[in-house]
Amino acid sequence: MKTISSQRRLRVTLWITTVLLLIFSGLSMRFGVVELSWAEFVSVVNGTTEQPMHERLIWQVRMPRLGTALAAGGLLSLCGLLMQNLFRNPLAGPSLLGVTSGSSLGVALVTMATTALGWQLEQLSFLGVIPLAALAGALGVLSIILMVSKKMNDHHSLLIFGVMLGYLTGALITILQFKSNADNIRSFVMWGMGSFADVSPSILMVLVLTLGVSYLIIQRQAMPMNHFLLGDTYARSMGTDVRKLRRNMVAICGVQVGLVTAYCGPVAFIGLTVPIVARLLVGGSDHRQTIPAATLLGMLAGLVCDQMSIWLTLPLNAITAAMGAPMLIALLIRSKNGMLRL
Amino acid sequence: MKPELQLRQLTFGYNGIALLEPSDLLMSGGQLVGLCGLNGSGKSSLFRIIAGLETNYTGDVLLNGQSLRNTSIIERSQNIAVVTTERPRLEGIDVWTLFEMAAHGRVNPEQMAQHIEHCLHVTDTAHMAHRRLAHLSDGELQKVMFGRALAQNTSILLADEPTAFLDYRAKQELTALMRKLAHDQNKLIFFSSHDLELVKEFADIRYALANGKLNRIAEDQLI
Repeated sequence: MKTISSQRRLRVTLWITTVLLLIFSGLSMRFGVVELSWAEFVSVVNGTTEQPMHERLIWQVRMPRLGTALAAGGLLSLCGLLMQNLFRNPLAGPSLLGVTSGSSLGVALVTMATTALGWQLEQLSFLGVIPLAALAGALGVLSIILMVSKKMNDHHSLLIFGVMLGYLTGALITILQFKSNADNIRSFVMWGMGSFADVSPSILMVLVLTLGVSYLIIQRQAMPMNHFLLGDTYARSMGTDVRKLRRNMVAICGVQVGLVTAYCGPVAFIGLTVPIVARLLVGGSDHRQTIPAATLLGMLAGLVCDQMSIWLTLPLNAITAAMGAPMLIALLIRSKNGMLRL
Repeated sequence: MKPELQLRQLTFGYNGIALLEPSDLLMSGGQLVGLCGLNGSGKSSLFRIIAGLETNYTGDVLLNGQSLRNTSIIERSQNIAVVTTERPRLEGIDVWTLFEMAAHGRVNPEQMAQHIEHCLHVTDTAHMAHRRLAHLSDGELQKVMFGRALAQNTSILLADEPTAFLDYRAKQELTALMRKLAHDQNKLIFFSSHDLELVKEFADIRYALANGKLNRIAEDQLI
């Protein structure tokens, strides 16, 4: 029956993605600013290398960066999938709730404060000021949204609220930038370009753990999320508490995107594009299939975008959009029967 | 045990205008109950209240003797399936998956395929099993949404205008099916329709909702 064929599509998708993940992970270990041979890479892995520089390069630079790209890509894509379900809109993405702009506001505030105190932001970077400010901003906005969403019965109000919050923080950021000095603005802009390079192993663990736990929670909600697609009335009549589900989705999304944005900057486009591609590949919106597919594809997207940004020495956000936008346009043109819809 | 729904002094309204004056009503399994009424008479509100989807009313609705206000969403979904006039046009969900969604957690996984095939068969929708909801006609989707309610495997089925988009033959067939399900499986099926003839022909008990009053249509009034 249909379910079997869509399960097969899911399996094929997951297998191909896994193979690509392994290939790109391997390449990411070997190539970069410094190029290693396969023999050198293997000798680092089995501990026989005599080059401490190679060891440091693999274990302290490339591995954490690889892990970050995978975890962040997975988190953003899962979050995008949740958002598209929450707003019943295939164009929703992680940035829609205003959590990303909350992070930006946090960082902009810090930038401004350091300017006012006559410091340079770069001197404070070792304190982890930027990620902490971003996290605080994200959590601040998230708690506002959670408070407000209790009063809001439909997703349209929530959508408008999130977008308005984005504009509001945007305006504040503009004012703060206007008052800031050039060097601090530069730090802010650099953060805004996104990067998977600056994550410490302990933060990486947090990201990986968040991905694992949120994946397990979301996977268990696959059926309620399917119910949700039918609209509030049908979802409730079929046993899904839509208010609770909506609140949980907002909370999970906020944590996912808040963490990623704090440590990697506001990474654009992955969370928007990957769920759409996942639906196309598994051939439907059934969350039992799209959740695993989007997660794995997101990890691949994170990795590929990061590698591209290394090879081309361009900022991450330039790559995600430069790759994501044409892909989405091509899919739009090719899909005859509206497969991009939910 | 036969399923039972009871209205006790149920009243509801909209903007201060009473759509229903205090009414009592008892429905139990094994019956097809039909409700007639004009547009805006409050039929859909009544269905939403009985289904537990609307709480803005006074009086009480009892589900098997228990007030609906004290039941959980899960509990209601185990007892009451609903067909509304909404038709979700989803691109990414096909009919089979839709039925699976309704039966999920109510039918054990080994019997799932058999259960779904049965529901597809009785509602004459088996040939659409692999079609996506967005690609069905209004009438087809309406039949499918009814089949989905059956797949939910409940003893009570509330159907608001389930035949509105169906052609003459399909209307007759679906209403006959509701009657058969009520009689053979002791289900309580409550449906509304604009079509008085249809209600007359198939319903065991008939009500009319007009001017805020819920009246039973007596046999002699039917002639």
